[in-house]
Amino acid sequence: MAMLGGLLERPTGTTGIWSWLTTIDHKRIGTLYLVTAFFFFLVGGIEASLMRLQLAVPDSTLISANIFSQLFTMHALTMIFLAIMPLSVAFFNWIVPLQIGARDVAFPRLNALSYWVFLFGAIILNLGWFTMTAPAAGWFAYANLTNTTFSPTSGMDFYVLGLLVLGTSSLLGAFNFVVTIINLRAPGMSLMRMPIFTWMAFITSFLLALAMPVITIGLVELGFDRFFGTNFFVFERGGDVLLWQHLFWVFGHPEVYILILPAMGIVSEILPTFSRKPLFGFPVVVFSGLTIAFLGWSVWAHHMFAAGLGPVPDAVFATTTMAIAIPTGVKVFNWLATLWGGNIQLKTPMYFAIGFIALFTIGGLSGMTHAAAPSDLQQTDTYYIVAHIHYVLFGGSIMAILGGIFYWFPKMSGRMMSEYLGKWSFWLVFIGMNMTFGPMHYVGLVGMPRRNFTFPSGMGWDLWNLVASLSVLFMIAGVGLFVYNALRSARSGEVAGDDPWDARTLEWAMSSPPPHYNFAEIPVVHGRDALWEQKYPDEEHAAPPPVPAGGAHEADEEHHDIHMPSPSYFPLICALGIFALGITLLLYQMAAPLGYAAGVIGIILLLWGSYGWIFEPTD
Amino acid sequence: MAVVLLSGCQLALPQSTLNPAGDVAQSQQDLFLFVFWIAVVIFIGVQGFLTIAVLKYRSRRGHESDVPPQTHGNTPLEIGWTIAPSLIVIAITIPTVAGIGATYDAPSQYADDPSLTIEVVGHQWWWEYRYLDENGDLDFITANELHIPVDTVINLKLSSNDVIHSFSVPRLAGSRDVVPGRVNRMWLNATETGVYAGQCKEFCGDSHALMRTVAFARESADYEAWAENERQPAVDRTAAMDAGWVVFQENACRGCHTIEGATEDEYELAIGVTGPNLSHFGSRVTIAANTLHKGPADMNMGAFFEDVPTDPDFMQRDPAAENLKRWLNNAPDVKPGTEMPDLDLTDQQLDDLVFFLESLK
Ligand code: HEM
Ligand SMILES: [Cu+2]
Repeated sequence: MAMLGGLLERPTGTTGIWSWLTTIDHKRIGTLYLVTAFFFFLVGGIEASLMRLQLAVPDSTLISANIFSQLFTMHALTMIFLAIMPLSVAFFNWIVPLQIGARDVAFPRLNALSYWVFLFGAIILNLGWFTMTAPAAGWFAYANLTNTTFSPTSGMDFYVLGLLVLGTSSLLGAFNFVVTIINLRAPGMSLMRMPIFTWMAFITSFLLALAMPVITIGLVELGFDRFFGTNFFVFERGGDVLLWQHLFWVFGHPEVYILILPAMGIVSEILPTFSRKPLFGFPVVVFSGLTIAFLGWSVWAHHMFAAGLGPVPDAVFATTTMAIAIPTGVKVFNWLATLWGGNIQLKTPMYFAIGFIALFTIGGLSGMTHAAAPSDLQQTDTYYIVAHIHYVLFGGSIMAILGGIFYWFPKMSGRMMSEYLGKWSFWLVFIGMNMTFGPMHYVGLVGMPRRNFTFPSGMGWDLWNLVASLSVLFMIAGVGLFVYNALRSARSGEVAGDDPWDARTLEWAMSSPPPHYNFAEIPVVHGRDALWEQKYPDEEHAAPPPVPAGGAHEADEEHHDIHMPSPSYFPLICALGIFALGITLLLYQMAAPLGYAAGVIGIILLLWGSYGWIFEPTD
Repeated sequence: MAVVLLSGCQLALPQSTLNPAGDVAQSQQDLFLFVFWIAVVIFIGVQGFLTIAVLKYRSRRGHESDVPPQTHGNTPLEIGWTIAPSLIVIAITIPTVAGIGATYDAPSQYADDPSLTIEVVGHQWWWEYRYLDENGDLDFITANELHIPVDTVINLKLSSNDVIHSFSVPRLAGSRDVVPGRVNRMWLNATETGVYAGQCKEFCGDSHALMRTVAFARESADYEAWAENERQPAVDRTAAMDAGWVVFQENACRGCHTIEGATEDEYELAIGVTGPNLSHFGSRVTIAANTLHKGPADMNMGAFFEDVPTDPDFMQRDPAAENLKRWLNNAPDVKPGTEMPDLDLTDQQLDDLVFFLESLK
């Protein structure tokens, strides 16, 4: 049987480039996700900075209209699909198995495949930059601007194919985490004892599994229109341009919760740890997460209030959108109550978490103002919306992610990041973010539309655009400092120990960084904050001396024989096959033989990869 | 402070959503401010509570490892802070839902007002306005500058010639998308005379930012006089206009623009519909969907909106017609991607053409 597995033996190396290319360890894959996604976060930041450079002054001619369109389209796509989503997945990978007491995810090789497919999707999406023909129709790419008449370059092809490939990666990851969380929890960890971050990962995975197919349909239809001349969105021939908007936003609104729920999970871990008390109203926080995820499917047309759907749909979607503010508010109140009565340690992760509450609240409140459909007709597609988006996605998701990196960095690397630099980067980012995006509320309300490559002078927009542009410098400095801090600390930071924050959940019960098998002995869970209850068994009485956590160290010697699956070449081979198939149509358009070649190579790689995968021996 | 910032009455804000000059914009502002002030109260509550909690419970030196009481939750509190936002949300939802219909059609209280129907057609990247008479038949066509009588219900029928656009003149009404294959509707009225800025709000391609419009709200009599002029064919050709007419004919102009002739054959060859109708271009104050205005080239857009309503001789301010020449000479340079080609005219041709066009009052 082993020979049937193909020509490749299972690789065994644990260092060097091949060990990374073939790894199926969730922690290493988490690191790959983290580094790649953070790289794209910086790319998206550069795109944004170029736009702010253009908009610093009115009537600027620095950047052409077309390149500006590419910049804002790619900025959004990059930040959403290549930065925030995969950063969240990086945390799912690193943290979820540790939190639930598992040795790895349910399907380690599938996990590796998700990462490689993600990487290749990201490359396809960015291919346009090499010829300056990146997608340029906005991240929601409304039909019929996207057809071959109005978008004649390959830009929209990169969009269609890149997002299809990325969607494949998301689906694989989503299924993997759903199965992992359902099946691999440590004994005793009932659903309501599951850590809150894992809960949010669980909900997010369901959202992904349900939302990606919707946009996939839209993308396939758009791809058919563009490549094969079908008429899904061609109104002259019976198609419907609004069909795209519905498909996009049925995906797009759950997508914004895909972007924020993991961040909420991170914050819900940081707040209790640094308040030294449990998350207030744990079941309520879980259920409001579920409610948000559920209601999130019923609000999509609030992005289409101006589309003229008619008074009845407008009223229905305004009402459901209002309703979703309730569970959102409830979450905020529970976070506040978690702080109340705590012993608040103002460490850097806590700064980011508190910053998250402050900024996300602003984004939620502005969301409420444009849920009021009649007045949203004024705000829609203005800078007011840009402000809203960035308060929830930068003030929300990115703040939480930066805090999360700081929080789990000791676990991942074994070393602490510098508190001193960390606080500097927090304040720089926090101030920069407010001074860049805060004024956009005003600029939008006094009528400046979004997605404008230039604006005329004297309309009341000049000053605040300049302020917004200059303030970007704070964010650049803050993020730069953050990166420097991480790189430096990874080498020479203070050694962290197992549990530097005196935290509550199981990932802190093992050495930092964890051994490749995670838990020497799978823990048995007796309560919600499993580690905390082990350390402070009698919680009614304050401050007993902390009990050293876990048993991993002593166990090290005895458990050398813990069996973990070996690395594998096949996920990468399959991903290469998907990549080749992903660019087949692009190459076909350049020259038919190239297209055939890519198609054949792709199919061969995919068949070989899956064949080898199936018959691969376990070590 | 916030009020001044928000109302902006002191500043010239020709495209502000918070400076209404019509009933639709007014009710949109009212609703916005209603929700806004509620949001401000919640904002202060949450941020205040957050600040107090952090200050009050932050760890004191020497007590870092104290363990506070491990409260897990409190059911009455949870119920309370679920019900409270629900009530607020209901309070906001009621006026929201109640106001939606009135963004499509004028409510019954306007039944006795005079009304006017205009078809708005979006083009990459300019606006065509087709005025209808009482019978719903086409009255006349103009472009980029929307003239309306005050205190009149203006029903707009929106359609697109190419991609999705969105029509808005924020001081009169918020936007409604202009969707190809559909006819959308909205209404607005102006309660004050004035000149209001508008802009396409749905991204519609590279020059989306330059797809602007200007609305002139006038007393009924003034509006009627303007409309009567629009109904007439372009002014009779005079000998002085001939040179410009030749330039117009010999370049691509006539293929894309219409100039309605007084006599059967006078301007008959200029019947193109790809670009804006130019029959009365000489009476307009803006160029290419207000990408440029006809004031001096160094006059900014804010000053334009301040001066145009008050200065009847505005058009004489730039006898050299610098902006117009810029446009005529190389349109794609001014508006990237426009269908109007780079004509590359001589100075003499430009002078002739400008004279010709500006004579089309
Ligand atoms: C109380 C909660 C929220 C409400 C009521 C709300 C409401 C809305 C509404 C009505 C719009 C459409 C505005 C328009 O285009 O005219 C919108 C846009 C948007 N919202 Fe929210 N929102 C909320 C929270 C969030 C959260 C948590 C996120 C993501 C983390 C988010 C992300 C976005 C984004 C990305 C857009 C703009 C999409 C685009 O046009 O590019 N919102 N929101
Ligand atoms: Cu939404």
